[in-house]
Amino acid sequence: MSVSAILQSKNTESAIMASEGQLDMSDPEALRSELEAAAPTLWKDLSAKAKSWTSTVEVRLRKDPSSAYPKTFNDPIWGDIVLFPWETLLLDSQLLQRLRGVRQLGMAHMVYPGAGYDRLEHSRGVVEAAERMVRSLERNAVFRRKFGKDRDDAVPQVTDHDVNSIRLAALLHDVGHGAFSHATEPLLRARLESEFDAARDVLRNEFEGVTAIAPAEVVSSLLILSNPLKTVFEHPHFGATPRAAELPLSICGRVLGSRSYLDAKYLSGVISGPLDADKLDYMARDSHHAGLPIGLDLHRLISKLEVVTVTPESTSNPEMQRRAREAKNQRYHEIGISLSGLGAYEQMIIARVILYDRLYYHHKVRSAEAMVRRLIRLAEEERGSPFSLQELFFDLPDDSVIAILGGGLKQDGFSAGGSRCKSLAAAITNRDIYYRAFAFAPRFIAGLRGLPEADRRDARAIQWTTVLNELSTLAGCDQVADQIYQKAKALIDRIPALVKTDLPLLSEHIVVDLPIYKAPVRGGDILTRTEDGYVAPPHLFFDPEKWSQAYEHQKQCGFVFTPRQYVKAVGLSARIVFYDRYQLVMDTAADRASKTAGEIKNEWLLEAAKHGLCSADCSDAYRQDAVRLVQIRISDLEQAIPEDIRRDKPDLAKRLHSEFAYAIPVGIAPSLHKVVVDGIRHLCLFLINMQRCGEFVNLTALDEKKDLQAKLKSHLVAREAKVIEGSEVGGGETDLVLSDELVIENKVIRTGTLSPLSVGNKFSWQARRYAIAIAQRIVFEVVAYKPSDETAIFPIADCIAVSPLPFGSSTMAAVRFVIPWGHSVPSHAKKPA
Amino acid sequence: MNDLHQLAQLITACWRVSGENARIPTSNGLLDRALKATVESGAFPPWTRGKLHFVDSRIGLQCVEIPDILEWAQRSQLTSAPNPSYETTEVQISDRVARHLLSQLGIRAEDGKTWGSALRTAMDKAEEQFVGLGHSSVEEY
Repeated sequence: MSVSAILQSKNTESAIMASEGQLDMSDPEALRSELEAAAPTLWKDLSAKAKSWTSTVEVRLRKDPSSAYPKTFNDPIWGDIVLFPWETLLLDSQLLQRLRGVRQLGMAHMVYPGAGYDRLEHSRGVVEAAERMVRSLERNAVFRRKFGKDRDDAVPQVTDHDVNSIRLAALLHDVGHGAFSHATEPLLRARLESEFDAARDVLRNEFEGVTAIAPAEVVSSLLILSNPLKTVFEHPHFGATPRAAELPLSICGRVLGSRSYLDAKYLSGVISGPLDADKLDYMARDSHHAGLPIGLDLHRLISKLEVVTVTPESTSNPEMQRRAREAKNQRYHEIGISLSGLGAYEQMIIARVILYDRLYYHHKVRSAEAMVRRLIRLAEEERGSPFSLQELFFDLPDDSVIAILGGGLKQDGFSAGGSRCKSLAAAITNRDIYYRAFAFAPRFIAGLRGLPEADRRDARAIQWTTVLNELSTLAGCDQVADQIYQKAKALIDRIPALVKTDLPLLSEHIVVDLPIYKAPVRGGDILTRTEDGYVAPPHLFFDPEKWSQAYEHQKQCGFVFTPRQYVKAVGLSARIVFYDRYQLVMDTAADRASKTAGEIKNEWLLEAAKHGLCSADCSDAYRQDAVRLVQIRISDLEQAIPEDIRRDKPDLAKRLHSEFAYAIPVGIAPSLHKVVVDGIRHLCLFLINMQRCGEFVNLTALDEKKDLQAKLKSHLVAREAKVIEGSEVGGGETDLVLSDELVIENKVIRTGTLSPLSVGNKFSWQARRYAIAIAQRIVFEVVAYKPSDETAIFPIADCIAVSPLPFGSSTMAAVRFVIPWGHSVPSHAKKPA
Repeated sequence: MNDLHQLAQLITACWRVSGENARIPTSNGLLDRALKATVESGAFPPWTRGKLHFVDSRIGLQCVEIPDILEWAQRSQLTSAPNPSYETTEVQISDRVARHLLSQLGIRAEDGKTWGSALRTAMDKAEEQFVGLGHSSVEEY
C-alpha cells in the first residue's frame, strides 16, 4: 500500500475486519493504576519526563494541527524513509530528539571511529524495517490465501490500525534508553530493582505471550502508557487511528512482542521477536558504521517471512493446539520464516555473535563503558547522593553528559563536577582509556593440568562458580575493585618499582568488568511451515560444536582495567586478591590476553610476601607450574591415622576422605596439605593419650585454657610440632596455630550431650574467622564434651569428623576431634548398646 | 549473587544428584514444560517462588528465564557449551560437587535428589507428550 493510500484511509477503519475475533481490550486506566501501584517512583518520574518531553507536541496539536506533514529521509541502510505526519510530530519532540546524541553503540566509537551513530537514526531505520516486514507478510498473506496445498483463505488482512501502531512502536521502542545506551542500563535497573520487577510482572500479565523484558523496554512501555502520551495519542488532531484509546496498548504490545491488541496476530513479532525490525536495523547499521562485514542478508530475511496457519492438526505442541481449538474457525496465524529463508536466518544468528565479540565486547569498548559507569558513581560519591531516575535521563547527548559530570559544562539544578570527576571525564574525552592489567576466565585457571579430566572439570566449575557468585553483580565487581585498590596502594608504598609516577592511585582508577548482560541467542524461537502445512520451530543445522566453542572462548573473559601507569601495580594486586579471595591463579595465557606477559615480575610477589602483603602460597603458586590444589587422599589419611585406631574401623580413612571431598571438593594448597596430614596424626595420638591416661575422667570442672589447651599444647610441643598460642589474628585470640598455617580451636562443652560431633556451630564461626585471617580454608576443633550417658562415649575412630563450615561458606572445612570429660571410669561403664 | 545464577546452580545440581544421565534435554520446550510441572508440584526451595515465569509464547510454552539459566550454567562451567539450537546440554560436574553446591544454597542433598528426580520424571512425561513432534525438515529446500 502506498503512502498516499494510507493517508487517504487514515481516518476510516479498514473495511476488512480481522478474522481472528474482536479485540478484548482491557481498561487502559485500570492498567495505568496497576502500574502506578506496582512501581510508584518509576511511574511518577517517567510521567514527569513524558510530560516535559511531549509539551511541544501538545502545543502544536492544539495551536497548529496542519503543521505536521510527511517527511522523507535519506538513510544509509534503507535508502528513503518516509514518516507520516503523526510520526513527524513525535519525531520533532524532545521525546525522540533527546535520542540524537545517545549513541546506539555506547562507547564503541572510541574503537570503531564510524560507530558513533545515535538512537534517533536507528529508530527511524526500525520504522522502515518494520514497514518492509509488514508489507512482506501482507504479500505472503495474499499468497497463502490463494496458493499451496494448505492454502488458507482465512488469513486475516492487515489493518491500518495494525500498521500505524507498529510504525509508532518502531519509532518509540527506544525512548526508554538513557545516556550511553546499554552501558548505563544496569545502573538504571539497580536504582529501582523491585519496581522494575513489579512493573515487568504487571506488563507480562496484561500482554499475552511476552517473554523477556529488558529494563529499557519497561521504561519505554511506561512512557508510552503514561497520561501525557495518552493525551497526545487521543488528541483529535493526532490522527494515527480512529481507535485512539487503544493505541497506547497496541504500541506497548508491539514493543514487548505481545500478540495482544492486534488485528492480524501474525504481526506480533515485527518489533520484538527472534527476527524483528529492531535487530535487522541495528545489525545492518552497526556493521555498516563500524566497517565490520557480517554477511547479513536483509532482503532475503524480509522476503522469506511467512504467515503460518496453526490448527489443532498442524502442530503437536499442546499449547499451540489449545490456542487453535479456542480460536475462531479453530485456527490462528503466526509469524514464521520460510524453509528457504533458514540459511539467511542462521547467518543472522552467527552474525549477531560476531558483532558481540568484535564490536560490543571489544576490550577497549568495555573499558570505556566501565569508565563511564564509574564516572556516574564517582559523581554521586562527590555530591554525596545518588542520582534519581529523572536525573539519570540526562536529556542531553552523551558527550555533553560527560562534560557536565566532569564540570566542564554546567546545567541548572544539576550538581556534579568535583576534581576527581573532572580528571576521569577528561580521560574519557581524550580517549585515555584504561588498559587491561589482569584477565580472568575459566580457561585460564592454572594448576589443573595434572588432574584427571573429571577432577579438572569439577575444580574449574566450583572455582569459577565462586567467582561468579560475587562478580555477577555490579556491586560485587565494585567490592573486588576496592580490594584490589587497597592492596595496590599498599604494594606501591612498599615496592616503588611498580609505578613511575607521583600521581596517586585512586579508587576510580580500577574497574573490574565481566560481560554478563548479553541476551542469549536462542535460535529456535520462530516457526516454520512445511509444504504440507506442518508447523514447528526450525531445526538449525550448522556445525554447532565448533561454533559454540569459538563463541564460548571469545565471550567469557573478565578484565581488571586501570590507567597505563598503574598496570604493574594493579596487575600484581589483582593476582594477590584473586588468590586470597578465590584461591585462583591465572596462567600465562591470561597474561597474553591482557597483554601483560612478562610485565609482572615474580620477584615482586616474593617482595610482597616479605612485607606481609601476600601469602607464601600465593607467591609459590605464581612461581611454580605445578598442580596447585590437592585433595586429602585415602593414602594420606592411612598414613596419618595410627594403626590402633584404624584397626577398629578399617574404613575410617575412606570415610574421612569422602567427608573432606564433600567439604572442600576443590582441594587445598599443597603447603597446607602437609600441615593438615601431620596435624591429623598429632591429634589422633592426642586422643589415644587422653583415653589411655584417663586424664579427664571423673573431673567435675575442666578449664578450656588451663586444662584442655595446656595439655594439647604440651602434647604438640613434645612431638616437636611448631605451635603458637594466642596469636592475635582475626580480631581476637586464637587458641593454637600449628606450623603458622592451621588454626586449632579448643572448646569445652559443660552440659551433657549425646552428639559432640555436631553440637556448637558457633565454634565453627569463630574458627572460620581466624582461618580466613590467615588465608586458609581448613580449621581443626578440639572439643571436650560431657557425655549425657555411657552411649555418648565412643571408640576413638568415631571421635573424628570433617564437615563443611555452616552458613554457606564456600570452600572451608572443619575437622573436629572430640574427647569426653567428667565421665566415670570406663571399667565401671556399661558397654554401649 | 544474582537469581539466575542461583537457579542455574540449583537445577544442574539437582539433575546431577538425581541420576546417572548427565544430559539435560533443552529443545522443543521440553525443559520449559518439565520445569513448570516440577515447580507446580511444589518442588524447589521457597526463594525460587516468583523467580520463574511461564508464558504461552508464539512457539508454545516457554519459561522466560531458561535461556539465561542455561547461559549461566554454561558460564559457570556446570554444563557443557550448548549447541545453538539447544538440543541438549551435558551437566559436567560430579555428584560430590553437585552436593557441595546444594549445600551452599542451603539445600539438603536428599531434597536436591527428590527435586531432580521430579524434574527427570516430568521430562520423561514431556518427551512422551511430544512423541511425533518433529522439527521442520531443512532438507526441503
